[in-house]
Amino acid sequence: MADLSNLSIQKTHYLLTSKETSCVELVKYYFDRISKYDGHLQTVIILNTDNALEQARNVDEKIAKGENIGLMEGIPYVAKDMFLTEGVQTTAASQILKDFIPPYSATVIDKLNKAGSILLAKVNQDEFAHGGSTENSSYHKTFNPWDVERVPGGSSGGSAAAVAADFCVFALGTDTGGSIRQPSAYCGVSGMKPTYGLVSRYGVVAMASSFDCVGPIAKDAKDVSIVMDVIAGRDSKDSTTIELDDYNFTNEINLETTRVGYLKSYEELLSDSIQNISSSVGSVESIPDSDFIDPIMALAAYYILVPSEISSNLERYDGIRYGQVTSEAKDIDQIYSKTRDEFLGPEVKRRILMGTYALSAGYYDAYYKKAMRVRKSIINTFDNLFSKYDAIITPTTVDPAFVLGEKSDPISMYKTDLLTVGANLAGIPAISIPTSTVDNLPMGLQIMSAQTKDSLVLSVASQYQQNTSWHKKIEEINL
Amino acid sequence: MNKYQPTIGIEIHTQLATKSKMFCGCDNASVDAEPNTNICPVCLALPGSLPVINKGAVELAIIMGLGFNAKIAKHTSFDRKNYFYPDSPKGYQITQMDEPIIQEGYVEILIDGEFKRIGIHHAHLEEDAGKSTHPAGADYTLVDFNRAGTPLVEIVSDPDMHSPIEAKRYLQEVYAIVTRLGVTHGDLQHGNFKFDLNVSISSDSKLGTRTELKNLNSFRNAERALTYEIQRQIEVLESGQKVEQETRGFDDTKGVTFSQRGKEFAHDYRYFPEPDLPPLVLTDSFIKSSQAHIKDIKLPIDIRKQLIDAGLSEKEQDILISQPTTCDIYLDAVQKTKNAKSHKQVLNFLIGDYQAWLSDNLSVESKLTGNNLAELINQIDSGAISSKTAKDIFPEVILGNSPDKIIKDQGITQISDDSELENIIKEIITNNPKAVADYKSGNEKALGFFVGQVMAATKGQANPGKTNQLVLKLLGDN
Repeated sequence: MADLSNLSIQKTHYLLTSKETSCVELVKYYFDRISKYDGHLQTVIILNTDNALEQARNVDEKIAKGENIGLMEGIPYVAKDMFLTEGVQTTAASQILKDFIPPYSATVIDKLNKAGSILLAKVNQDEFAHGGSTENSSYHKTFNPWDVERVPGGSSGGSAAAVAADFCVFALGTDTGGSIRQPSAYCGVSGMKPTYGLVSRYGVVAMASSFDCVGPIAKDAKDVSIVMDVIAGRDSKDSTTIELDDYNFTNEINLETTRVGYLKSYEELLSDSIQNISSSVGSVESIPDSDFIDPIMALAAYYILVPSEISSNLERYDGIRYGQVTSEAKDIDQIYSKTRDEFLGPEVKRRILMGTYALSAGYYDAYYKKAMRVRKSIINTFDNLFSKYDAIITPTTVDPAFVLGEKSDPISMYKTDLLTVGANLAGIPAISIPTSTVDNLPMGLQIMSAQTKDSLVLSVASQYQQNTSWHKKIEEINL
Repeated sequence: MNKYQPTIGIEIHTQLATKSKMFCGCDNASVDAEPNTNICPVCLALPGSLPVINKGAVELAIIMGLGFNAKIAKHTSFDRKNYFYPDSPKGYQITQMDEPIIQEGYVEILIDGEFKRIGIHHAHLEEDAGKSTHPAGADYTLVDFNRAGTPLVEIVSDPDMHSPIEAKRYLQEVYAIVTRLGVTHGDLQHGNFKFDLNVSISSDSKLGTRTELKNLNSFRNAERALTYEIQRQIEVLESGQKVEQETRGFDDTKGVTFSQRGKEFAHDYRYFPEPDLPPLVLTDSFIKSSQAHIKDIKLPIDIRKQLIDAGLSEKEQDILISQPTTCDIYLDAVQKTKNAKSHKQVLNFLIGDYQAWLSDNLSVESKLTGNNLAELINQIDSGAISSKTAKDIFPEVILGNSPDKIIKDQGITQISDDSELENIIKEIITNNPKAVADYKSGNEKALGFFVGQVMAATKGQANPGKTNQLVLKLLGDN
C-alpha cells in the first residue's frame, strides 16, 4: 500500500486516479489516526464516519468504472464546528447548541460536497470562536501536536491541529481577528484569511459579521489556493460577497516587479524570511513603524467593534426555537436570562456584556462610533501602504504557542491577536505560513496585500515554500 | 378648555404587497396559511443565516415615496434594532435609522373645506415580527413565524396635526394613497395598516410631554382615542399634575386609554449599522423604472379635486376615495355616460346599491367595471329599461355580466310602444269593471291598481311613465 502520510491534495488525487490507494483506504487511514491519536490531542467534536465512508465508496466506484474525478473529489477534510452541516450536529463548541442538527449546510460545505470532498469530522474551537487558544471550547480543550503542554491556538485550533497531526488533507476555519492565521502559526501549517466577502459566510455561525472570513488551513500554500478555487465566489445568499473577474487562485503571479515591505521593528525576527523572499521578488524594503497602523489602537478598536456585533449576533440563542433551554424558568425573562446564563461560557458572556455596553445609549458615540473612525483610519493607512508596497510581511504572532492556562487574563489572550486584527479591520487578505522555529516550536510568517489581491498573497507564499522547507517540519511531528 | 393646543404625530406601519418576504424568499401571503409553514432558515433566524434585500419591496417603497411627494434617498442603509421577544427571531429587527429610503414628503388633507399639508418626516423599510398568541387560561404562548420578515414601510409624520379629526383625516389620506398605489393590500383587519399616535398638549409654544397610543388599526378609534387622551391630559394638567411620558393602549369597548409602559421601562434598542447588508445605492434609472409602473395612477388628492369640481359632497368623495376600485369604476363610468343626470345615477348606484352588495357579499369578488355600469345607466337613459329593472339586474352586472347581454337574453327591454301597451290596458279595463267603477266614483287608488296589473302582465317591462299616461287616457275614454 502507498504511503499515505502527509499528503497534499495533488498527491492524493494522483494516488486515487492511479489506483495506488482507494478512497476508502484513505478515509480509513485518517479515521485510524484520529482514533489512535486524538485521545490526547482532542481535536474532534463529532465524527462523520458513516457519511464519509459512503462517499468514499462512491468515489471508488467511479474510479473503478473508469470515470474521471475532479481534483477535489475524494479529498478528506475537517471543518471547524462553526460551519452548518445538514444532518450533522453543529455546536460552535457551545453548550447552547448542544445536539443542534442543522436543516441546511453552509454554502462552502455545499461547494466542497459538490466538488466531491469528504467531510471527516467537525472539529474543536473556542466557543463561538471567542478566543485564541481553543481553551474556551465548552466541550474539551485541544492540544498542540508539537507539544501537548501547549495550546494549538485559536479559535480554529481544532482545524490547525488536525492538519498538523495529519488527520486530514485540509481543514476549514474562520478568521475574525486572526483565528485561522494564529493557530496555523502555532501548529506549523498554512492558513489563509481571504479578502472580506470573497468566500460566502452563509451557513457559518456568525461571530462579528463585518469581520468574519472563511478560509482554508492546509499543509502548504499550494493546497490553500486549490481549496480557495472551490470555495470562493459571489453567493446570492450573502449580500456581502463580492464579484471578482478571476477566481483562479492556483495560477501563480510573476513576482519580478513585486514590492514587499516588512515591519522595521520585527526585522530581526523576520531576517530569514526577508532573505528568502528577496531572492524571488522585485524589492524588499523596511516600513518604519510610524507608517504602519498602530497595533494597540487596532486591537482596541477591534475589541469594541467585534463584541458589539457579537452582542447582537448572539441574541438569537434565546432557547425559543432551537438549542438548549433552561428547565428552571418561570417566565419569559427567565427563559432568556437562565438559558443564556446556563449554556453560554464566561468569555462569550464577557463579550456580550462589552458589546452591549458599547452600543448602549450614551456610550455609543464614545465607543462604537469612535472605534468605527479608528477602523476607517486603519483602512486609509493600509491604502497608503499598498500604494507603495504590493505585499507586507510581519510575524503572525510575536511568540510561539503558549502553555495551557498561561494566558488566563483576558487582555493577555487578546494581545495574541496584535498583528492579525489589522487585516480583519481592513478586510484585506492575509496568510500565515510556517517560518523558522523558536525553541523548536513553529512560528508564522504573515503576508498581507490589498483587497482582492489574494492571488498575490498566495503566490508570494508559494514562492517562499519553493525556497524553504519550514512547511515540511510537520512531517517530523511524533505523536 | 381651549387654552391647550394638542400636537399629534403619527407612525404608520404598512405591510407591503410583495410576493416574498423582506429578507428571504418565503411566501409573503400567510393570511390563510397554517402556522409556521411559510418559514425558512433566514426568517427563523437559524445560526448562519443571512438577510438579502427584496428588490420588490424597494420598488414598492419608491412608488410609495412618489405618493408622498417625497425625496428618494440615493444612498440608503439598514440598521439593527435590538430587543428580546419570542416573536423576534433574531433578537433584533432590521430597520432603517440613519438613511431611510423615503425622506421629506407631505400629504394634503381636507379640513373645513380647505387643504392642509401634513409633513412626512421620513418613511423607512423594515421587517415585521412573528405573531404571539396567548391562549386564555394557558400557561404558554404560541408563536407563529409566518409573519416574521413581512416587508413593512414605517411612515413617520411631522407633528403637524392639532386635532383628532386632523389625525383621522391624515390616516385616511395616507391609507388612500398607499392602497391606490397598490403598495399594500390595505387589509386593516389583518394588520396591513397599523399606527401609533403621539400626542401632547401645551398652552404655550413649547411642546408638552407626549404619550404614545400604540397599535391601533381603525380610523374611528384613532379619533376616539385621541379625543379621550387629549381630555385626560388636560385634566392631569388642570389638577396640577404632570403628564407622564409613557406608552398607552386604547380600550375599544370602554373608549379609554390606559397606561402600558412607563418611560423607565423604555427599551434601549442599541441601534447600529446592519453589518450583513451593504448600503443600498439606488440609481436614477432604477428609481425611474420603479416609478414608471404607476405613471398613469391618479393620486387621491387629484381625484378629490376632480370630485369637488364635479360637485360631489364631502361624504361622497370620502366613500369613493376610501375605495380605490369603486372610485376607478366611477371615474370610468362617468366618462362613458352622457349627462349630469346619468352621472348622478352612476354615483347613486355606487354609493347605494353597490355598497349594500359589498357588505352583503364579503366573500364574493366584485367584477363590476366602469364600462358595464355605464352601459346599464345608458340603457335607463335611452328608456330601454326602467330604473327598477336596472336595480334588479345590477347584482348580475356586479358579477361581471354585460347589461346589454342580460337585457337581450332575458328579454326585459322596456315596452314603450303605445299600441302594444294600449292593447294590454284595454284588456285589463274590460276584465275589471269594478275597478273602473271605483275609479269613476273618485277612488284615486284604483289608478294604481291598473298600473300594477299592466306591470304584472308585462313582467315589469312596461315603461312606467307611458303606462301611467295611457291608463289615464284610456280610463278617460272608457
